Amino acid sequence: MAIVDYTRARIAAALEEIGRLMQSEFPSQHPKDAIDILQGRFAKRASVLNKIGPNVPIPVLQTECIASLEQLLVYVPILGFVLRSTNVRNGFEAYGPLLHLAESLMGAQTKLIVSSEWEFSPFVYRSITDLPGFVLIGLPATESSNPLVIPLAGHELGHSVWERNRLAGDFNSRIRQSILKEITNNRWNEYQDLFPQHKKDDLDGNWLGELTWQPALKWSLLQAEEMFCDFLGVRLFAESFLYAFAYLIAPGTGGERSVGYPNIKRRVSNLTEAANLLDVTIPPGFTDDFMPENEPTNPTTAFLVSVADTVTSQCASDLLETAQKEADDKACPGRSAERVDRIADGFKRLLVPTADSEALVDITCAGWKCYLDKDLWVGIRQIKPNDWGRVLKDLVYKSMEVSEVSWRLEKAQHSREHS
Amino acid sequence: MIVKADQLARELENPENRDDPLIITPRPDINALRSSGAASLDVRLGRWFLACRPSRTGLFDVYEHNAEAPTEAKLTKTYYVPFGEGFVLHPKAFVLGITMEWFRLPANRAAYVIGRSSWGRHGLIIATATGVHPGFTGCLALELSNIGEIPITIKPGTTICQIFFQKVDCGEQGLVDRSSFVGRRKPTLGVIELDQMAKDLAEIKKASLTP
Repeated sequence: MAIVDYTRARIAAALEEIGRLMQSEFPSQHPKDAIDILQGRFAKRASVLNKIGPNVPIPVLQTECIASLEQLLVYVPILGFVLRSTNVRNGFEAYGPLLHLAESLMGAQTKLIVSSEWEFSPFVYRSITDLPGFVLIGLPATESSNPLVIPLAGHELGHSVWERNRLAGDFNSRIRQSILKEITNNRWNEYQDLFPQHKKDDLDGNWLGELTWQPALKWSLLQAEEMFCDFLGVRLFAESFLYAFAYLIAPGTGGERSVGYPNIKRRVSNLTEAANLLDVTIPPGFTDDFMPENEPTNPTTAFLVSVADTVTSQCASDLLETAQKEADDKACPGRSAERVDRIADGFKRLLVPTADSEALVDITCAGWKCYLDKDLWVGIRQIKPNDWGRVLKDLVYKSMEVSEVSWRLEKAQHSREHS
Repeated sequence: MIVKADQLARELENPENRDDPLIITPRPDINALRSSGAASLDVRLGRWFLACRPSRTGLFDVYEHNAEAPTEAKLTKTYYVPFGEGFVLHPKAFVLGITMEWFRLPANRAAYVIGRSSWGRHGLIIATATGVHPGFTGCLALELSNIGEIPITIKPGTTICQIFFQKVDCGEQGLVDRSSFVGRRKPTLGVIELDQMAKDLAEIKKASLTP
């Protein structure tokens, strides 16, 4: 059958491209490790296809072709992601400190790939079966040389923490019960208007009844994860997370809200509550910077997402506590106002990066402090005003590099002393 | 007058003028500097490189001012070399590197950068003596060339050149460097600025001395 030949050719073409990709100039070891693993997977698939003889039953043959195409479907975008992680537009100096943070949160075996993607928002690849232990964070290509958006990686790291610690399982039964309670106790009339054929007893145990509210459970869990990630972002990056969040998202893109996120006004309100509890200063006008989003027009969707919103909101304090505990237990540094001021003073007054190792959060907060200072280098004749942005970015990246160098040298000295 | 290493160490530890100090970051080993007896400071190679590349661009002509003049992005290719890996400088190759150190010079200090003879003997030349003016802040671009016969691997973090500091009588105005190379962490080709005299002379089509 021709489909076997087609599939063999497609896998061979993928392997050829992987071969070219392996010749890239990798900025760190982990993207290369990922390519090595994927090459092994594709080579194995090619081997399986090559063993298919003329007498293999058609259903078996089709199954193997489907498995091969699925592999292409899943991993070709990942190959592209890895390729774009090598692009020199990326601020590679941020990689070391981000890896340090990822290792603190998820263990020394964590492998990190940071890429620049042609996307509007940062994102993370989830549950990549063949790349266990890898965290793949994509930052928007247009912002890939802007260190001030690095704090948003804190949110993306949160997704990996959520998944690795199986936090969805911790919240699942609680959210399920809360949804049932919310519908039967508070929203029964609305539910009846939409699903008149079901009684209260149908909602728990009757699969047809359960199907009616399952989307609310799914959306509430997604919202809970997003809230956890936002809270972890604030905990890890303090004010700089809020500034980066507003920079990238405010005022919004209009249109209907995503059901997998709290609506933007609720999300911003959650962020400000978390900021207050974590002693993080909320940027002036932060709440007003965001425009309300439209709720879904479909009555069933509107009802279920409203239930999901209510139930997720009830989990907010526990989600914040979980995020805070996660970072505290792993000794992730918090923001120090004194250190931020010192670093920002170095940027502003002396035009120098940090002298020693500093926490990523302090560097990004100092960067934002200077970015928002309209008089930053007024009177400094060396820097022309249209060069301020570029110089600030270079100071922030260089500070990240200085931190990495200090951290690597300490590690090398420690190894020498204990060998 | 060239500033000796032990004095440099003192200056880095206790700047005379805290509002306008000499700063080098990452900070050099002060003890090693104090005891070196040298008149210069060894400087390390950074992780970014910039090389001219073959392209469809005809030539590099600083006298052509039009929108189609090739940009730096079109003329060059940027390389990033992580710690632990090397950049291979082939014979006859020329590449711009960058120092790992970020320098901040006060108004009363200037400096010049030259290669190290240990590298020079293997064919690695750090261009000409690069002058660093008072008030400069940033990493220093290094013009690296292999004039030897065998390829040379250079790794970030290696001491590749040396910098000599000089005292400058800064006068009342406090001279500062306004070059386009200030405040950078990556090497750049920069722009060759022509002064009015050069422009006027370049515009002369026919030599005529008649007014």
